[in-house]
Amino acid sequence: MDPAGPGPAREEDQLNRCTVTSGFFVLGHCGRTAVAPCAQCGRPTCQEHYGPDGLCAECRAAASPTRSPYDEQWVRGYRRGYYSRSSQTYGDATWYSGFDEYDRGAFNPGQGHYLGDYDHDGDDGFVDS
Amino acid sequence: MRFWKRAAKRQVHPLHMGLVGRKQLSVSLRPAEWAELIDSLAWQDAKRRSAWAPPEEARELLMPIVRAVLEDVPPDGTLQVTTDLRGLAPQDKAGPRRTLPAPPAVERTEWYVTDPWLRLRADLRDGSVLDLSVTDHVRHRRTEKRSRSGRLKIKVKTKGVARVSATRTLPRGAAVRRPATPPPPFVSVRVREGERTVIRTDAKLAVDAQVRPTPERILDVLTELFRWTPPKAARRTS
Repeated sequence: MDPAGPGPAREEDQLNRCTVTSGFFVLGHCGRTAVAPCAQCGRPTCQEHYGPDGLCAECRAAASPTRSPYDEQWVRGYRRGYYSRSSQTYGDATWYSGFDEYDRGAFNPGQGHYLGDYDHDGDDGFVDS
Repeated sequence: MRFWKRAAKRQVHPLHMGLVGRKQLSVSLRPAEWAELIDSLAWQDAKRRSAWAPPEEARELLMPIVRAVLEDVPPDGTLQVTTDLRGLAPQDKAGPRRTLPAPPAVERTEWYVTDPWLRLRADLRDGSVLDLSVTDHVRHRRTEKRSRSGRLKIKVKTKGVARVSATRTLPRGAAVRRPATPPPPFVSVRVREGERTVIRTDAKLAVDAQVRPTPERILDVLTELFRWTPPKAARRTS
Protein backbone atom coordinates (compact mmCIF):
# COMPACT_ATOMS: atom_id res chain seq x y z
CA MET A 1 0.00 0.00 0.00
CA ASP A 2 1.02 3.56 -0.54
CA PRO A 3 2.97 4.75 2.49
CA ALA A 4 1.99 8.34 1.75
CA GLY A 5 -1.45 7.55 3.08
CA PRO A 6 -4.85 8.31 1.65
CA GLY A 7 -5.31 11.55 -0.20
CA PRO A 8 -8.14 12.85 -2.37
CA ALA A 9 -6.79 11.24 -5.56
CA ARG A 10 -6.07 7.96 -3.84
CA GLU A 11 -9.51 7.81 -2.25
CA GLU A 12 -11.08 8.28 -5.66
CA ASP A 13 -8.89 5.51 -7.00
CA GLN A 14 -10.07 3.17 -4.24
CA LEU A 15 -13.70 4.00 -4.92
CA ASN A 16 -13.22 2.51 -8.38
CA ARG A 17 -11.71 -0.76 -7.22
CA CYS A 18 -13.49 -4.10 -7.11
CA THR A 19 -14.37 -5.00 -3.53
CA VAL A 20 -15.40 -8.62 -4.01
CA THR A 21 -13.90 -10.68 -1.19
CA SER A 22 -11.25 -13.13 -2.31
CA GLY A 23 -9.35 -15.90 -0.55
CA PHE A 24 -10.50 -18.59 1.84
CA PHE A 25 -8.28 -18.39 4.91
CA VAL A 26 -6.20 -15.42 3.74
CA LEU A 27 -8.88 -12.89 3.04
CA GLY A 28 -8.50 -9.98 0.68
CA HIS A 29 -10.45 -7.78 -1.65
CA CYS A 30 -10.04 -8.13 -5.38
CA GLY A 31 -8.76 -4.64 -6.07
CA ARG A 32 -8.99 -4.67 -9.87
CA THR A 33 -10.53 -1.68 -11.57
CA ALA A 34 -14.31 -1.78 -11.14
CA VAL A 35 -16.50 -1.60 -14.22
CA ALA A 36 -19.97 -1.49 -12.65
CA PRO A 37 -21.79 -1.79 -9.32
CA CYS A 38 -23.49 -5.08 -8.46
CA ALA A 39 -27.22 -4.87 -9.19
CA GLN A 40 -28.02 -6.46 -5.83
CA CYS A 41 -25.49 -5.35 -3.24
CA GLY A 42 -24.12 -2.31 -5.06
CA ARG A 43 -20.47 -3.03 -4.43
CA PRO A 44 -18.05 -1.94 -7.18
CA THR A 45 -17.21 -4.99 -9.30
CA CYS A 46 -14.51 -5.67 -11.86
CA GLN A 47 -14.92 -7.28 -15.29
CA GLU A 48 -13.92 -10.71 -13.98
CA HIS A 49 -16.38 -10.74 -11.10
CA TYR A 50 -19.23 -9.02 -12.92
CA GLY A 51 -21.69 -11.48 -14.44
CA PRO A 52 -24.05 -11.11 -17.39
CA ASP A 53 -26.89 -11.04 -14.86
CA GLY A 54 -25.50 -7.82 -13.39
CA LEU A 55 -24.53 -9.51 -10.12
CA CYS A 56 -21.14 -9.71 -8.47
CA ALA A 57 -19.57 -13.13 -7.87
CA GLU A 58 -20.68 -13.17 -4.22
CA CYS A 59 -24.34 -12.42 -4.98
CA ARG A 60 -24.36 -14.88 -7.88
CA ALA A 61 -23.04 -17.64 -5.62
CA ALA A 62 -25.69 -16.83 -3.02
CA ALA A 63 -28.46 -16.70 -5.61
CA SER A 64 -27.64 -19.99 -7.29
CA PRO A 65 -25.68 -22.20 -4.90
CA THR A 66 -23.96 -25.22 -6.40
CA ARG A 67 -23.06 -28.46 -4.63
CA SER A 68 -20.28 -29.48 -6.98
CA PRO A 69 -16.80 -28.40 -5.92
CA TYR A 70 -15.79 -28.59 -9.58
CA ASP A 71 -17.84 -25.45 -10.08
CA GLU A 72 -15.85 -22.26 -9.70
CA GLN A 73 -18.70 -20.65 -7.75
CA TRP A 74 -18.82 -23.46 -5.18
CA VAL A 75 -16.10 -22.11 -2.92
CA ARG A 76 -17.76 -18.68 -2.59
CA GLY A 77 -20.98 -20.25 -1.37
CA TYR A 78 -19.14 -22.72 0.84
CA ARG A 79 -16.85 -20.15 2.51
CA ARG A 80 -19.45 -18.26 4.53
CA GLY A 81 -21.10 -21.48 5.73
CA TYR A 82 -17.72 -22.93 6.61
CA TYR A 83 -16.73 -19.90 8.71
CA SER A 84 -20.05 -20.15 10.53
CA ARG A 85 -19.67 -23.88 11.26
CA SER A 86 -15.98 -23.75 12.18
CA SER A 87 -16.69 -20.84 14.47
CA GLN A 88 -19.00 -23.17 16.42
CA THR A 89 -16.48 -26.03 16.30
CA TYR A 90 -13.86 -23.75 17.83
CA GLY A 91 -16.29 -21.98 20.15
CA ASP A 92 -14.78 -18.80 18.78
CA ALA A 93 -17.36 -16.20 17.82
CA THR A 94 -14.62 -13.81 16.68
CA TRP A 95 -13.60 -16.26 13.93
CA TYR A 96 -16.89 -15.81 12.11
CA SER A 97 -17.39 -12.16 13.04
CA GLY A 98 -13.88 -11.37 11.79
CA PHE A 99 -14.75 -12.86 8.41
CA ASP A 100 -18.16 -11.20 8.37
CA GLU A 101 -16.71 -7.83 9.30
CA TYR A 102 -14.09 -8.19 6.61
CA ASP A 103 -16.59 -9.23 3.96
CA ARG A 104 -18.97 -6.41 4.81
CA GLY A 105 -16.05 -3.99 4.92
CA ALA A 106 -16.17 -4.21 1.14
CA PHE A 107 -19.11 -1.85 1.30
CA ASN A 108 -16.99 0.86 2.88
CA PRO A 109 -14.89 2.08 -0.02
CA GLY A 110 -11.75 4.03 0.63
CA GLN A 111 -10.39 1.87 3.40
CA GLY A 112 -7.47 0.36 1.56
CA HIS A 113 -8.07 -3.34 2.15
CA TYR A 114 -7.20 -4.36 -1.38
CA LEU A 115 -4.89 -7.20 -0.54
CA GLY A 116 -6.23 -9.87 -2.81
CA ASP A 117 -5.51 -11.06 -6.31
CA TYR A 118 -4.31 -7.67 -7.38
CA ASP A 119 -2.03 -6.93 -4.45
CA HIS A 120 0.79 -4.86 -5.91
CA ASP A 121 3.39 -4.11 -3.30
CA GLY A 122 2.60 -6.40 -0.39
CA ASP A 123 3.48 -3.67 2.04
CA ASP A 124 0.26 -4.10 4.00
CA GLY A 125 0.23 -7.79 4.91
CA PHE A 126 -2.52 -9.93 6.29
CA VAL A 127 -0.70 -10.48 9.51
CA ASP A 128 -0.90 -8.02 12.37
CA SER A 129 2.56 -6.88 13.18
CA MET B 1 -12.65 -43.48 -34.42
CA ARG B 2 -15.65 -41.30 -34.91
CA PHE B 3 -15.26 -37.56 -34.93
CA TRP B 4 -17.12 -36.93 -31.69
CA LYS B 5 -15.03 -39.49 -29.87
CA ARG B 6 -11.82 -37.87 -31.07
CA ALA B 7 -13.16 -34.46 -30.03
CA ALA B 8 -14.09 -35.79 -26.63
CA LYS B 9 -10.67 -37.28 -26.08
CA ARG B 10 -8.90 -34.09 -27.11
CA GLN B 11 -10.50 -32.16 -24.27
CA VAL B 12 -9.36 -34.52 -21.54
CA HIS B 13 -6.38 -33.05 -19.70
CA PRO B 14 -3.33 -35.39 -19.62
CA LEU B 15 -3.22 -35.28 -15.81
CA HIS B 16 -6.93 -36.06 -15.76
CA MET B 17 -6.19 -39.31 -17.61
CA GLY B 18 -3.67 -40.27 -14.92
CA LEU B 19 -6.15 -39.56 -12.15
CA VAL B 20 -8.79 -41.70 -13.82
CA GLY B 21 -6.43 -44.53 -14.79
CA ARG B 22 -4.36 -44.87 -11.64
CA LYS B 23 -6.44 -42.88 -9.12
CA GLN B 24 -3.22 -41.08 -8.30
CA LEU B 25 -1.98 -37.60 -8.98
CA SER B 26 1.29 -35.86 -8.21
CA VAL B 27 1.54 -32.35 -9.59
CA SER B 28 2.80 -28.87 -8.92
CA LEU B 29 0.74 -26.31 -10.81
CA ARG B 30 -0.07 -22.62 -10.83
CA PRO B 31 -3.71 -21.60 -10.28
CA ALA B 32 -4.33 -21.06 -14.02
CA GLU B 33 -3.02 -24.57 -14.75
CA TRP B 34 -5.18 -25.99 -11.97
CA ALA B 35 -8.17 -24.28 -13.56
CA GLU B 36 -7.51 -26.14 -16.83
CA LEU B 37 -7.26 -29.47 -15.03
CA ILE B 38 -10.38 -28.84 -12.94
CA ASP B 39 -12.31 -27.76 -16.05
CA SER B 40 -11.42 -31.07 -17.66
CA LEU B 41 -12.49 -33.05 -14.57
CA ALA B 42 -15.71 -31.05 -14.24
CA TRP B 43 -16.64 -31.60 -17.87
CA GLN B 44 -16.30 -35.37 -17.57
CA ASP B 45 -17.80 -35.52 -14.09
CA ALA B 46 -20.98 -33.91 -15.41
CA LYS B 47 -21.33 -36.61 -18.06
CA ARG B 48 -22.93 -39.78 -16.87
CA ARG B 49 -21.24 -43.09 -17.65
CA SER B 50 -18.23 -41.39 -19.15
CA ALA B 51 -15.10 -43.50 -19.51
CA TRP B 52 -13.14 -40.47 -18.36
CA ALA B 53 -15.35 -39.70 -15.35
CA PRO B 54 -13.03 -38.90 -12.43
CA PRO B 55 -13.26 -41.11 -9.34
CA GLU B 56 -15.90 -40.16 -6.82
CA GLU B 57 -13.18 -39.57 -4.21
CA ALA B 58 -11.80 -36.77 -6.37
CA ARG B 59 -15.06 -34.87 -6.08
CA GLU B 60 -15.90 -35.75 -2.49
CA LEU B 61 -12.47 -35.65 -0.83
CA LEU B 62 -9.84 -33.96 -2.94
CA MET B 63 -11.60 -31.15 -4.76
CA PRO B 64 -13.11 -29.30 -1.75
CA ILE B 65 -9.66 -29.03 -0.16
CA VAL B 66 -7.96 -28.04 -3.41
CA ARG B 67 -10.62 -25.43 -4.16
CA ALA B 68 -10.33 -23.88 -0.71
CA VAL B 69 -6.53 -23.73 -0.72
CA LEU B 70 -6.37 -22.50 -4.33
CA GLU B 71 -8.32 -19.42 -3.29
CA ASP B 72 -5.31 -18.36 -1.23
CA VAL B 73 -2.64 -19.06 -3.84
CA PRO B 74 -1.55 -16.03 -5.91
CA PRO B 75 -1.42 -16.31 -9.72
CA ASP B 76 2.35 -16.81 -9.67
CA GLY B 77 2.28 -19.21 -6.69
CA THR B 78 2.14 -22.99 -6.89
CA LEU B 79 -0.01 -25.64 -5.31
CA GLN B 80 1.63 -29.07 -5.10
CA VAL B 81 -0.62 -32.04 -4.53
CA THR B 82 0.26 -35.69 -4.23
CA THR B 83 -2.77 -37.86 -3.77
CA ASP B 84 -3.55 -41.55 -3.85
CA LEU B 85 -7.27 -42.24 -4.00
CA ARG B 86 -7.04 -46.03 -4.34
CA GLY B 87 -8.19 -46.55 -0.78
CA LEU B 88 -6.98 -49.23 1.63
CA ALA B 89 -7.31 -52.26 -0.64
CA PRO B 90 -3.95 -52.25 -2.51
CA GLN B 91 -1.56 -54.78 -1.01
CA ASP B 92 1.39 -52.38 -1.11
CA LYS B 93 -0.25 -50.35 1.65
CA ALA B 94 -0.64 -53.32 4.02
CA GLY B 95 2.02 -54.16 6.57
CA PRO B 96 3.12 -57.67 7.58
CA ARG B 97 0.57 -59.95 9.25
CA ARG B 98 1.25 -61.30 12.71
CA THR B 99 -0.48 -64.02 14.63
CA LEU B 100 -2.06 -63.10 17.95
CA PRO B 101 -2.44 -65.44 20.93
CA ALA B 102 -5.77 -67.26 20.74
CA PRO B 103 -7.53 -70.25 22.31
CA PRO B 104 -7.45 -73.64 20.56
CA ALA B 105 -9.45 -73.89 17.32
CA VAL B 106 -9.24 -70.11 16.95
CA GLU B 107 -6.74 -68.30 14.79
CA ARG B 108 -6.23 -64.57 15.10
CA THR B 109 -4.15 -62.42 12.81
CA GLU B 110 -3.56 -58.71 12.79
CA TRP B 111 -2.15 -56.26 10.26
CA TYR B 112 -2.03 -52.55 9.72
CA VAL B 113 -2.72 -50.61 6.55
CA THR B 114 -1.08 -47.22 6.13
CA ASP B 115 -2.52 -44.95 3.48
CA PRO B 116 -0.86 -41.55 3.03
CA TRP B 117 -3.49 -40.36 0.63
CA LEU B 118 -2.89 -36.63 0.61
CA ARG B 119 0.17 -34.39 0.67
CA LEU B 120 -0.23 -30.74 -0.17
CA ARG B 121 2.07 -27.74 -0.24
CA ALA B 122 1.01 -24.24 -1.20
CA ASP B 123 2.63 -20.83 -1.48
CA LEU B 124 0.02 -18.49 -0.06
CA ARG B 125 -0.44 -14.91 -1.11
CA ASP B 126 0.46 -13.50 2.29
CA GLY B 127 3.93 -14.99 1.83
CA SER B 128 3.40 -17.99 4.09
CA VAL B 129 3.81 -21.62 3.09
CA LEU B 130 1.18 -24.21 3.94
CA ASP B 131 1.91 -27.93 4.25
CA LEU B 132 -0.73 -30.57 4.84
CA SER B 133 -0.56 -34.32 5.09
CA VAL B 134 -3.33 -36.81 5.75
CA THR B 135 -2.54 -40.45 6.47
CA ASP B 136 -5.05 -43.13 7.35
CA HIS B 137 -3.86 -45.91 9.70
CA VAL B 138 -6.28 -48.81 9.91
CA ARG B 139 -5.84 -51.92 12.05
CA HIS B 140 -7.40 -55.15 10.78
CA ARG B 141 -8.02 -58.13 13.06
CA ARG B 142 -9.17 -61.36 11.50
CA THR B 143 -10.49 -64.19 13.62
CA GLU B 144 -11.08 -67.67 12.21
CA LYS B 145 -12.94 -70.10 14.41
CA ARG B 146 -13.77 -73.68 13.51
CA SER B 147 -16.70 -75.25 15.34
CA ARG B 148 -16.95 -78.92 16.35
CA SER B 149 -19.02 -79.63 13.28
CA GLY B 150 -16.20 -78.30 11.12
CA ARG B 151 -17.91 -75.12 10.10
CA LEU B 152 -15.55 -72.16 9.69
CA LYS B 153 -16.53 -68.69 10.93
CA ILE B 154 -14.50 -65.67 9.90
CA LYS B 155 -14.80 -62.23 11.44
CA VAL B 156 -12.77 -59.17 10.48
CA LYS B 157 -12.76 -56.05 12.61
CA THR B 158 -11.22 -52.76 11.62
CA LYS B 159 -10.33 -49.73 13.65
CA GLY B 160 -8.47 -46.71 12.44
CA VAL B 161 -7.42 -43.13 12.70
CA ALA B 162 -6.54 -40.47 10.19
CA ARG B 163 -3.56 -38.44 11.21
CA VAL B 164 -3.82 -34.91 9.89
CA SER B 165 -0.77 -32.76 10.20
CA ALA B 166 -0.47 -29.21 8.95
CA THR B 167 2.12 -26.46 9.23
CA ARG B 168 2.11 -22.86 8.19
CA THR B 169 5.44 -21.08 7.92
CA LEU B 170 4.79 -17.37 8.17
CA PRO B 171 6.66 -14.72 6.22
CA ARG B 172 9.76 -13.24 7.76
CA GLY B 173 9.00 -10.95 10.68
CA ALA B 174 5.28 -11.71 10.84
CA ALA B 175 3.88 -11.73 14.37
CA VAL B 176 1.23 -14.01 15.81
CA ARG B 177 -1.50 -13.46 18.36
CA ARG B 178 -2.93 -16.21 20.54
CA PRO B 179 -6.60 -16.81 19.62
CA ALA B 180 -9.33 -15.93 22.09
CA THR B 181 -10.30 -19.58 22.61
CA PRO B 182 -8.29 -22.83 22.57
CA PRO B 183 -8.72 -25.24 19.65
CA PRO B 184 -11.23 -28.10 19.97
CA PRO B 185 -9.97 -31.22 21.78
CA PHE B 186 -9.16 -33.11 18.59
CA VAL B 187 -6.67 -30.45 17.43
CA SER B 188 -3.30 -29.83 19.07
CA VAL B 189 -1.24 -26.79 18.19
CA ARG B 190 2.39 -25.81 18.59
CA VAL B 191 3.91 -22.46 17.72
CA ARG B 192 7.63 -21.99 17.22
CA GLU B 193 8.35 -18.30 17.15
CA GLY B 194 11.43 -17.09 15.35
CA GLU B 195 12.49 -15.14 12.31
CA ARG B 196 9.88 -17.16 10.43
CA THR B 197 7.27 -18.33 12.90
CA VAL B 198 5.96 -21.84 12.30
CA ILE B 199 2.51 -22.93 13.47
CA ARG B 200 1.82 -26.64 13.51
CA THR B 201 -1.43 -28.46 14.12
CA ASP B 202 -2.01 -32.18 14.49
CA ALA B 203 -5.22 -34.12 14.76
CA LYS B 204 -6.33 -37.71 15.03
CA LEU B 205 -9.70 -38.36 13.45
CA ALA B 206 -11.59 -41.63 13.71
CA VAL B 207 -11.90 -43.57 10.46
CA ASP B 208 -12.48 -47.14 9.41
CA ALA B 209 -12.09 -49.17 6.26
CA GLN B 210 -15.00 -47.44 4.55
CA VAL B 211 -15.16 -43.98 6.07
CA ARG B 212 -12.53 -41.33 5.61
CA PRO B 213 -12.42 -37.96 7.36
CA THR B 214 -14.54 -35.38 5.62
CA PRO B 215 -12.83 -32.48 3.84
CA GLU B 216 -14.53 -30.13 6.28
CA ARG B 217 -12.87 -31.90 9.22
CA ILE B 218 -9.50 -31.53 7.50
CA LEU B 219 -10.18 -27.84 6.88
CA ASP B 220 -11.03 -27.56 10.58
CA VAL B 221 -7.46 -28.61 11.34
CA LEU B 222 -6.14 -25.94 8.94
CA THR B 223 -8.35 -23.30 10.53
CA GLU B 224 -6.25 -23.20 13.70
CA LEU B 225 -3.21 -22.14 11.63
CA PHE B 226 -5.02 -19.02 10.49
CA ARG B 227 -6.67 -18.08 13.77
CA TRP B 228 -3.25 -16.96 15.00
CA THR B 229 -3.09 -14.28 12.31
CA PRO B 230 -6.59 -12.83 11.94
CA PRO B 231 -7.31 -10.52 9.01
CA LYS B 232 -7.27 -6.83 9.67
CA ALA B 233 -10.77 -5.81 10.64
CA ALA B 234 -12.47 -3.65 8.10
CA ARG B 235 -13.75 -0.45 9.59
CA ARG B 236 -17.41 0.21 9.21
CA THR B 237 -18.64 3.71 8.74
CA SER B 238 -22.07 3.19 10.22
